[in-house]
Amino acid sequence: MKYFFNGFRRNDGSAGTRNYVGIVSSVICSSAVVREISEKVDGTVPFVHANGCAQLGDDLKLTKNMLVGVTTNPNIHSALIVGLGCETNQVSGMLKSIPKTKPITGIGIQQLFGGENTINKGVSITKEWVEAAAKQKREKIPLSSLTIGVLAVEHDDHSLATTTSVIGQVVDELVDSQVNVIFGMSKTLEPAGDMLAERISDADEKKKLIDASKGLERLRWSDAQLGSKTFSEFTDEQLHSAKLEAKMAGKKPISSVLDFGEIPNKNGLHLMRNSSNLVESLSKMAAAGCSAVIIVSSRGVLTGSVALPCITITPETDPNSFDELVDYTIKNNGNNDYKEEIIALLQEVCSGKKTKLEELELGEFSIPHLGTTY
Amino acid sequence: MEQKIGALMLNSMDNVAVALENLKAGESISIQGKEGLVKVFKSIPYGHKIAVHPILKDEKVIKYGECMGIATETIPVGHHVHVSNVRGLNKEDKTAVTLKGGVEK
Amino acid sequence: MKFFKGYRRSDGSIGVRNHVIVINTVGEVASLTKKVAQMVPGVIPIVHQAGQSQSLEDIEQTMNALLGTAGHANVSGALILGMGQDDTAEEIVKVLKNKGRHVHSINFNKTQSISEALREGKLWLENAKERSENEPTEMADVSELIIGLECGGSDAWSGITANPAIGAFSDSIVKDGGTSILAETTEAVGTEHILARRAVNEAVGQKFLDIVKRYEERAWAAGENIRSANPSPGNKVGGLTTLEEKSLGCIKKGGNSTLMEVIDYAQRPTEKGFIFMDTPGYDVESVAGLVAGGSQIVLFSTGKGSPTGSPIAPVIKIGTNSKLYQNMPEHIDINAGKIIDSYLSIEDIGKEIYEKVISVANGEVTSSEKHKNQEFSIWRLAETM
Repeated sequence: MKYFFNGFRRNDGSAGTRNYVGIVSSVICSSAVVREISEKVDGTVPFVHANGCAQLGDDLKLTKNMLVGVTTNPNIHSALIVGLGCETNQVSGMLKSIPKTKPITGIGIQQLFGGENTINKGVSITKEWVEAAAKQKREKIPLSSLTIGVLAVEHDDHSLATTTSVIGQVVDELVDSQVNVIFGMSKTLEPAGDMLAERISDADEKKKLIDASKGLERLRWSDAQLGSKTFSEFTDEQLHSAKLEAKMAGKKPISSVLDFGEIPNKNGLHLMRNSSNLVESLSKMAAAGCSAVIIVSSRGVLTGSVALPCITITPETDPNSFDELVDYTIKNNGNNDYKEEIIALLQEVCSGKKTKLEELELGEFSIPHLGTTY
Repeated sequence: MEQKIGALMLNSMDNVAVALENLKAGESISIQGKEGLVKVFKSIPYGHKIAVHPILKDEKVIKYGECMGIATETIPVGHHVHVSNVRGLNKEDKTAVTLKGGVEK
Repeated sequence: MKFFKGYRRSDGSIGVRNHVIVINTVGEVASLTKKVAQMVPGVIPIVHQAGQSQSLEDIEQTMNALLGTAGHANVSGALILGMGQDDTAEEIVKVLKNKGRHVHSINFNKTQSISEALREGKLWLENAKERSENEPTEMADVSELIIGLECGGSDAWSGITANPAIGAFSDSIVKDGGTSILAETTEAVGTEHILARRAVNEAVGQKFLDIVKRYEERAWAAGENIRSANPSPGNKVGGLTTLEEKSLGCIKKGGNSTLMEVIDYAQRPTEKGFIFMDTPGYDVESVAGLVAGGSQIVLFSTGKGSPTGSPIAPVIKIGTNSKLYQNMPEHIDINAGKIIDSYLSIEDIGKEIYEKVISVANGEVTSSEKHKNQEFSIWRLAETM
């Protein structure tokens, strides 16, 4: 094994790059309580969002899957789930779906007769866990224990020209080193779906990519037509950019196409269906088990994930850009050690070095909708 | 208060009242919103409805001053009013209600 | 005549609070929004994750919700944080400045460093806060109040105690020339003919029937038949017999007044009196819509106990039973359970609600305000692009 990092071993065989106590709200109604517990206990991260009730079908399933996913994320040492009591997404249902490999407890505002009691109880539980987490030391662990996300955000052909082959080499190197890689696939990459499909052996997974390349399809509910969707074909220009972006996903075989908050079941390179919304995409990556994310952007981004270190990589552009938020710049002057430098930076960050977004404490969480609320 | 209040009428036009506690068969209760006593025919759990006026088969069951269903059999005063003797409205009922331009007993 | 002391705004509206807020237009700047709010004590951050990569209907709905919130009568000053070059933040500021409102936008783009932008935000907020502290109040008539009507975490008593009492209040304030807005289209399925019949004219009645139909079709598309699923087995055990009865228990929050207007989500009514707004039954999103539509105060009935509030409007919690009031006094403002165990009438509680509304309009802090329940979320109509 070539690459190692210093991280936190988990009982399920995975490894974390951070050692947070997660506080997960099952529904928006408990979000204020979750925030307050988190503010009172250093070392905790709040997973608050706008969902959890008055949802139906796939929409509810995605919310539940993502919340179960973040509690099992390897960066989470232990997790407290806080509910209201009468919500659709019941805490008891979430607890049943979570494997018992770390300390997990669920509490509810109605069951504890109010927010104040719930906050007190939550503070005492998480304080204990934070103390336990503080005793855990980082150990030398192969990088192959990790799942790393790669997310391309708002780029143009100019920035792609600089970044795409470098990131492609990084992805290939990580996959060769048995690191699990999840590459985000948003509408800008979808036109290249049929091209990427050639790298996938499973027929069902192949079909998902070919279908995605036919045109942009998204669910809508403002009109009452049953199952109403929007569909538009991709333009040649979009196809051209997608082909450039596809190079960022390297050249290795693709194992699966993830959706609905799925967690990959084997190591390799995976594509994850995403919207173009940064926070939703990072949150899906957290739910799928990523311990760190490489964000490749033309501009630098203004937020990261609440639980994952996000390394921001940009091409060398405007000297006035937000360099205070950029961790690594790919310069145009022919230095050819980019791949090694980026992987070295990834190892450092996974071992505890704070990213720029972490230093500024910029991190969010949100859950996309597959249906409207009722 | 001499006589406890066992049920509440939500509107003076209603023919049912809501039990505020478990009502026992045979007891006479007074009803908020109505003069006199009503004798409970069979036990009625709290939150359920008791007939305070006789409701004939196919007549409207009125709560909140509005039609909440149709009696599927004649319901005497003091009887439990629920799924066994009331059905929801169908399209024709609603059109009829709309055409009459208001609820009458 | 009933009066309250409020803050007169340049657009003619009158607020019952004098908040200074920071609000984001896109989810990506939510963290920065909280950061800048923390720099100035007393400033309220309003954050959400809408605004990015949305379909047209969501862009419009988000815009309405943001405009209605930032330009709300309870808001003295609003800082709007956006991102990039062509962001909605500037658009919102343009609209509200035209009405003379005290607003400012900062767009995070590459022309200004983040620390400079945060400094600019802090300075503006400090000034806005100081400005708000010097704003006078004036006496206003209750006819200038818009009260949102909501329920959440309902139980078997909701339709018997709290909701009819809210209905009694609604009829009173409408009689006094004020406005009440009923919401939650989901809850009206089965009784649409009753509310349609109460409409002031056929067009208003038809609009109401249309939005209910649209709702049922949406639920049907997700595999749910609202009519056959209700009342649920649990509802029946609790004593509810028909869908009509269950829905009547919800819509009776609107009393018996004439339905003057049916408005879309987060829209401001153009009429006074009893209004219906198309919102989901999801309480936080519904309250956000009611407030964006101009409600200065929201009445919220709850049976199981829901702590949620609003970042800018006082929410008055009305408990449906005395047990809830004893168990969770910190979250309940009025105990409508007295109808069950103290034999008070629905009208008695209606009067108590009216007195509370006046007192809260004059500054009394509600339980959701005290506990900083500032939940906010905008109703979404399509998958993110």
